[in-house]
Amino acid sequence: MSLTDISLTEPSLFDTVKKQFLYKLKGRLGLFLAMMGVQIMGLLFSLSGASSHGMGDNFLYVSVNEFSSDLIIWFTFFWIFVVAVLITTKDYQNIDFTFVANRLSSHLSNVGFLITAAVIGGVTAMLSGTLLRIVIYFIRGRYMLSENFITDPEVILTGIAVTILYLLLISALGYFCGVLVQLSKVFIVILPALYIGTVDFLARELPVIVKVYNFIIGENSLALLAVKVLITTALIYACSCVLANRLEVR
Amino acid sequence: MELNSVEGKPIYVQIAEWLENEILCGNIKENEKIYSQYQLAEMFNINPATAAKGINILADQGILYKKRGLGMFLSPEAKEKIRDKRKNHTLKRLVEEVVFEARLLGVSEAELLSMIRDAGKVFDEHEGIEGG
Amino acid sequence: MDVISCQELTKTFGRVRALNNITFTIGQNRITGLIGPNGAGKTTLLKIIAGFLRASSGEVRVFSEDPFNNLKVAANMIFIDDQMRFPQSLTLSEILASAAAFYENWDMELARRLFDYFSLDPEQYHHKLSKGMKSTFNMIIGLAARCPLTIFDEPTTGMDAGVRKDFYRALLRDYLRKPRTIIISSHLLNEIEDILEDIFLLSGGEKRLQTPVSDLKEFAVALRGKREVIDKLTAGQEIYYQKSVGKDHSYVVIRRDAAEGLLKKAGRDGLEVFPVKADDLCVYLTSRKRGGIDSVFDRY
Repeated sequence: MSLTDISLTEPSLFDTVKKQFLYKLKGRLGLFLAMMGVQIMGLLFSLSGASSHGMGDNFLYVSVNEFSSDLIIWFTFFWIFVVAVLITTKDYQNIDFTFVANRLSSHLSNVGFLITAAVIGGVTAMLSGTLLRIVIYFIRGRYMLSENFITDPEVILTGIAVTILYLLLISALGYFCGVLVQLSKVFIVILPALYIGTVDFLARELPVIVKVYNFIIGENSLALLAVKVLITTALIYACSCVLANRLEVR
Repeated sequence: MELNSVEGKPIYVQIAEWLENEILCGNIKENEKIYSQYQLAEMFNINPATAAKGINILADQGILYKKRGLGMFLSPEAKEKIRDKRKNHTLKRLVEEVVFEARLLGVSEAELLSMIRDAGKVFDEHEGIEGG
Repeated sequence: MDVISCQELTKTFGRVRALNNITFTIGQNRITGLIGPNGAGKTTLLKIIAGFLRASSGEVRVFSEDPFNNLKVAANMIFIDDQMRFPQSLTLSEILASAAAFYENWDMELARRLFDYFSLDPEQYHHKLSKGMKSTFNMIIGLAARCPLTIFDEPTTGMDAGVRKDFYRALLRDYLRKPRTIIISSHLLNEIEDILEDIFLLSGGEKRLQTPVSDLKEFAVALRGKREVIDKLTAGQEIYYQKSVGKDHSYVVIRRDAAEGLLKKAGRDGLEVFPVKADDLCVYLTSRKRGGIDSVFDRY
């Protein structure tokens, strides 16, 4: 009987994370479709112009319409936050634990997934900014002034990098919130209350918060911004992993 | 093949009895290898451990013998042993039951014996039909 | 070697005690049936073994390791139930391909053959399957994964009788080819009884009995006869089930070994002795009241 016995496998964490990451990428294509939807919506909203004002006299009237792809980027921020929260929910977790997984491999592959989402989201959001300019050029006529209509690749790349960094940070925050909610449903109430009620108050009473905010967001050097955001993101993800490591699943 | 699990007899006993019947019919010859527990498990849709238990009953009674690493084989005196055992146990018990039932119903000994003879005749006729 | 061992395992959810002080071991390459009524704690016990839930107290070992949050246990174990979820964007054949990546011993040939036999459509989506088809698909995953520890929690939910029969046959044949440790939970014993080696009876979060299934039939006997004779005979015995028959007769189920001596006398005292069906015995051992449902009506 022992001849045909099935031998025990010794799994490696890295291998498992890799398999889960690929499985998740394949299984969560719908979330990227949602991203495209959100970005197209942002694009449509942007077409009406971010702001417009006019000036002139009896002879000449100048109407200035400003267009900006900010809205697309904001929508993408919103998308990644929702995705980050979503993948911490029971349904997604259950899918993880259908096949080989432990808490750590599940979190690490989620982090890998969110990094991928941030990169794809960042690139598409910035490129759709360019798309926006082209669309406006064709439908709004020739009188178009642009600081950089044919944008310097360097500027685009910087834009992409910064967007990705913000997306990373937001995904980490979203994931953290999701994990807190999994720990206790009380956080569904507490988190928005904290956000709405206390951020203002804390900012007034605790200048530290403002300092931290400025330290991260108000950075002018891309390299420094990258270092700061990556470290913060890593810390938040680490906290999420530690907090959720004892959670029961399925 | 179906086993009757509703009846009180444990499945491994039914397996042992089925093997005995195969041996009595001559389907398994002396010194021939008998079905393995896995073959029996597959045939009767039962757990191989249960099948092994059935085989072991026969091995304990000397009806089968073991060749190390090769499996279970039919011992030369198997048929004799099964016949003795069944006569002294199964048949005896059945007769006791028949007698008990006859007493309960107030059937006389002569009446009972004639019933047995009649049953034998029916059986012979059957044999005759099958034979012819 | 023991694949699973539990020492004084207790699990509580808030104030509810789902499992109470359970101690047992399960040996390698045996098929064990975990039998108990609904709410007995079967799923909780299995999920603790699978490492999904954490024991509140006591020690659990699977492959000599604590299963909770354990990658090695996860890689060598598969847990099949009707709550299994798969990504909605994957077709059945894509799910099979994913499963194949996760399990080292995965047998795609077996999966494909079972797939064809049960006429599943490879391009179908899991969430669009009927309940019975879902169970069938999950079962295929459970068998093809060829995990050293395979757990089926009520695997036949929604399957029709024919498919259930096929499933148990497939399970047995694949087990004969690749022996492994298998646990099947069910609230019914009779349809799985034949393919089991051991039976583990659970009720009210407590272990009632763990025994080779072939011993179960001989574990107890039923006696029927005049009430006063029965009462006198079984005084001081543990009675598993009791009911009144006719005017002054009674039917009791008692342990066979304890009753061995009594049985010798039984025939002469006008008592009848019956074997007890295994699944009936399970019901007696796990039921709330000794007289079963009749006890509700008899004194009312």
